Amino acid sequence: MTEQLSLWSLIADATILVQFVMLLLFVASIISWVMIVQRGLYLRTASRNLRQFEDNFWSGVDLNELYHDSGNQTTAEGLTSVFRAGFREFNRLTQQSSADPEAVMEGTERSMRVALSREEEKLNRSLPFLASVASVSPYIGLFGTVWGIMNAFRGLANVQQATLATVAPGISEALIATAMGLFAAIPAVLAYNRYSASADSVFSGYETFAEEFSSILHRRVHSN
Amino acid sequence: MLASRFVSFSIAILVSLALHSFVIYLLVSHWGPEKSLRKAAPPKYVQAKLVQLEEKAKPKPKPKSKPKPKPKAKPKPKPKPKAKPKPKPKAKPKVKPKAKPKPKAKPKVKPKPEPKPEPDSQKMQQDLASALAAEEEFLVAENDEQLASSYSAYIFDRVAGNWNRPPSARRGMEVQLSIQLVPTGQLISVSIVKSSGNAAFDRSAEQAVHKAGRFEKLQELPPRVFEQYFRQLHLVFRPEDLRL
Repeated sequence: MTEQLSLWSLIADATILVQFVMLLLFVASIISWVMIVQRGLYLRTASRNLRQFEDNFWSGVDLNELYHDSGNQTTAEGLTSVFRAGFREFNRLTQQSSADPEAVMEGTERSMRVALSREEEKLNRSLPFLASVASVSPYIGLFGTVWGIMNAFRGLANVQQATLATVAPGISEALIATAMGLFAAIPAVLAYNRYSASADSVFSGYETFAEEFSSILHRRVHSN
Repeated sequence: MLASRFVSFSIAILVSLALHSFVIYLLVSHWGPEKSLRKAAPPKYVQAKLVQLEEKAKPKPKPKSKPKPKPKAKPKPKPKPKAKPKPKPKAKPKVKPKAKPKPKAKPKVKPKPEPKPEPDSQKMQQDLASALAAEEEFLVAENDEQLASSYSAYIFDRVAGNWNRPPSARRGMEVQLSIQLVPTGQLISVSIVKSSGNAAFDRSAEQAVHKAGRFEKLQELPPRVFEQYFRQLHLVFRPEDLRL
């Protein structure tokens, strides 16, 4: 053990299981970072779109105009799609002469609820993955470490005079697994907490808007 | 919408990969400050060589430049029984190659400024040759010693690894064994030269040597070095690490 311990040799000399654990954690870390960045971008654009749309909506623009400006249904995102779903349903129902105001409002609200839950799903997508990485990867790393230390000590049993130098490399390589577990877990925990909070706030913005919009439509239905 | 999702995903993947490769690069390139510490440990040999170079440089230019000062090499055989090859890091038993005869210790070069009228070139040549020979011998001896010390470290490790100290071992005890080896590395006999006064302790030391049994690596040694240092070997056992 006269040559210096390089990180690479530590990893390469580890047992298959420990190596597997390290690989798993590394992949988990990469994927969770992909999620972190992607979710971060998505949530930022979502909250920006929310603010933009609300500004636009309350600027006194005509609702029909807004509906036509907001593009088609497939490209609508976030609050736009909630608005479009509600407004389209409202128009369809009011054009049927037989419809009474209560039924119109009920149908409109239902279709907005559907759009809302779709948006909620989009906001929370892949947050569960981050949560799993955050909670499980320390355990996986710990498992790798315990296994590695177990092996180190088993090897020690055959030696008559145990010195620190005989166990040190084994323990050192085993500890890498824990380090990797923590490395994967910490950003995932932070990102999960942050993103679930901001997804909640964006979604409550959607909900508030849906309520306000339905109150506007309600007024319109009853004024006719 | 699909396109924008694709873009955001590819950005995310790129960022993630870049971040991980950066972390890996940091870890690999700056792994541990202990590198330098480790390297610093074994430079004993370098020193010895430096000394030898210096001496070599001295006698050479002298005869050429002026015929007057005559370098006279006086190799003084100084049998210096070098005690124990230095305290090894956590040394328990000390391996002591018996009576290390350091045959030629530093050929002393004495320039004598005796003014001689005629340049006695023949004698000078002879002197030079003998000085060189002494030099050579000194070098070989130095080399042998290095070799021997590394192999005695090996023997020491083997024996230390097999040594189980009895519970009655106390600090300050010391048993000296003399062991005989043959060039195959096989152990021929072990005898106690100086007992510690504690029979169990003496026995444990003897057993450690017996358990180590055969020192295969000694086969690699040139026979000359083996005869000089390892045919008969003295080992000193001390339970230094015990806190009793």
